[in-house]
Amino acid sequence: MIAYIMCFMLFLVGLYGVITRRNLVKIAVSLSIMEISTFLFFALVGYIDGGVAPIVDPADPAKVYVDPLPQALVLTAIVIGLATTAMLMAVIIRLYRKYGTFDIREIKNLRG
Amino acid sequence: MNPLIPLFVVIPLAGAFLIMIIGRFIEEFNKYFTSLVLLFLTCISFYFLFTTGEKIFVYKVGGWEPINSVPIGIYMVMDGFTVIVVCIINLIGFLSAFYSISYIKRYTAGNYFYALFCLMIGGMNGVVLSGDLFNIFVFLEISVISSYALVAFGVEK
Amino acid sequence: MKGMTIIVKKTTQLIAGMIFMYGIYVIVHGHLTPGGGFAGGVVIAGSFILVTLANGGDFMKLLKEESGTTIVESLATILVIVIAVSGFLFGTKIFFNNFLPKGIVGHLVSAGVLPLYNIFVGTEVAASIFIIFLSLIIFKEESKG
Repeated sequence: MIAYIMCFMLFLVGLYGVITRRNLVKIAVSLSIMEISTFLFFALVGYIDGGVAPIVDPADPAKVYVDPLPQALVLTAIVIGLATTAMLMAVIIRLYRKYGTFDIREIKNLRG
Repeated sequence: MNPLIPLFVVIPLAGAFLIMIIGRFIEEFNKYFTSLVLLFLTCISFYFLFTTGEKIFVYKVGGWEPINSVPIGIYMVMDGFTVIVVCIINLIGFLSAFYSISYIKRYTAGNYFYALFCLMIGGMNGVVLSGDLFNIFVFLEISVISSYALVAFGVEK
Repeated sequence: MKGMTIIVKKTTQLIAGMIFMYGIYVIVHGHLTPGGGFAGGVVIAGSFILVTLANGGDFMKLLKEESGTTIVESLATILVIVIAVSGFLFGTKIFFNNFLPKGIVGHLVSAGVLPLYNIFVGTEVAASIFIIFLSLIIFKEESKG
């Protein structure tokens, strides 16, 4: 139970970063922290008491394995998050080339 | 287990990457290939429109049968509502690709446009054909990221 | 873009080969240990990015590298789909069927087509991330000169 509350606190840390920072690159990093907190929550849902990591060792078979399905889903979601972050970085570089600054308050005022 | 169902997703995906390779060497390849691929998909979707009455076609990818009646593996489902949406997607995609044969002459990067267009059609087909929530998420992300790049497209000549 | 000082160049000459070999290890043992296609592909792309950052390169050389890497990425994706379709042709009519013989649990050459999928997906992911990096650098070079 305490692990799920920690994931939610990580989400709130990322949300604080998106709202209050002025530099565009810091906003992108905080968005990535929010995505990572949801991946952690999703992988923790599949935990079974007394289970080991779901890798079969033929010399030492265990009885109870942790559920591997959420881990596979999180692997796919990490790759999708990478693609979204790469697209965000391309937009940020384009904005810097046009306005000459990374500060969002100045970009809002310029309206070039 | 109708083997024509996963063709809706596999053929646009393979076509997009074939366009990226062969389009560098042959000039006019990308336009006509895209129109041919979408014409083929439209014909298959009309075939399903006329043979799907009340039946539900289920395709299990990889052949994984359910264990203790719990389904494992990826399922692709085609029922009455799905076949109407698949017909709409492929028909309008074919008409757009056919119109763009002469319109794309104004832009310089024709290869990228047709590859992204095929990926977007394949992603949209996957959204309506998938049988569980996670595959809806995966195909939604494929189609949405391709549409981001298509919205920002274009260096005019 | 300019390269870096001679200390950085000598260090990357020593280390980049080891990072590449570690990435290949993570990809090929994907059915025995955690890792597989995605994670190993990212490690291999890291070694390529390290060599490009340390040595620099002018505009024409980067453009040629980008066009070659795009062909490698598209070829790897087409090979993944060819293996999936060849499961359709060999006997039963199912895509993504596992048709090669599965060996003994725990050996390197086992589990049918899974190591082949891992290798091609790893190549494709490495090529994609290297193309993202090269596109951002070419974009910056265009605006300067």
